[in-house]
Amino acid sequence: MGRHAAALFAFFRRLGCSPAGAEDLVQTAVVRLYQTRRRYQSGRPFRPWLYGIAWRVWRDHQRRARRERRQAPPEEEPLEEVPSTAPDPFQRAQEAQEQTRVRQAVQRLPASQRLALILRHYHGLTYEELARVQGVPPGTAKWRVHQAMATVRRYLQRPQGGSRVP
Amino acid sequence: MTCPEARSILIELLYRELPAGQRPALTAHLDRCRACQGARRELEATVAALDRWTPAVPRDLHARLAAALGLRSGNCL
Repeated sequence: MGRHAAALFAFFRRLGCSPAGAEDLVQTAVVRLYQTRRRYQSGRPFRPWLYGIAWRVWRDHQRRARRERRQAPPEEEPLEEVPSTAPDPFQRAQEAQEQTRVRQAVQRLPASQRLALILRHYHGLTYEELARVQGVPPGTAKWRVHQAMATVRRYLQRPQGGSRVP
Repeated sequence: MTCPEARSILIELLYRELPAGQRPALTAHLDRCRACQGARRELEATVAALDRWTPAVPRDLHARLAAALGLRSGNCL
């Protein structure tokens, strides 16, 4: 499980959680994985099961947050990302800004597309695995990834300063 | 191969997951279609931008999780 904790943390961060929130959700997900371990069928792919649980943990958290009317928008702190090692301060600032733009683009996606893109791109799930996590046919999972990629591309191509994804 | 067919599998090419059987047709299409070459470059740029977004993971995440769950570090997590 050790190697999965960091991946789960990054997963929740990319979905839009704060660092403290992501850590709490990793903890919740690990507990839930342990509680439901008997339902995991040995020999079946592990990642769809792992991220299926993580996704439900995040979804439950979102619902609870909405109910309690304390859902915060994604933070705008560029220092949350891995700091650049570029020697030039200008280049470092530019790289931090690029990371922020990508984060904004991903976090503005509809939830189903955001999940599809994150699991496909950052966690390497196949469309079949993605489909299992999302409970949709593989074709739908693939469509969501393609749509998400296109939306992110359009967002990144826009001049900076606007707020609407075309 | 048509342009829509090519674009529907471009991403698999970039992820190096395109079935070997589909590669020659896609490569041949890309060699002669400037619009799809452009689409490929745009997709490459998007993938590269996504790759640059790396949330920092706390160094002591594992130890803190283990402590929170009452486990010895390195035991189960």
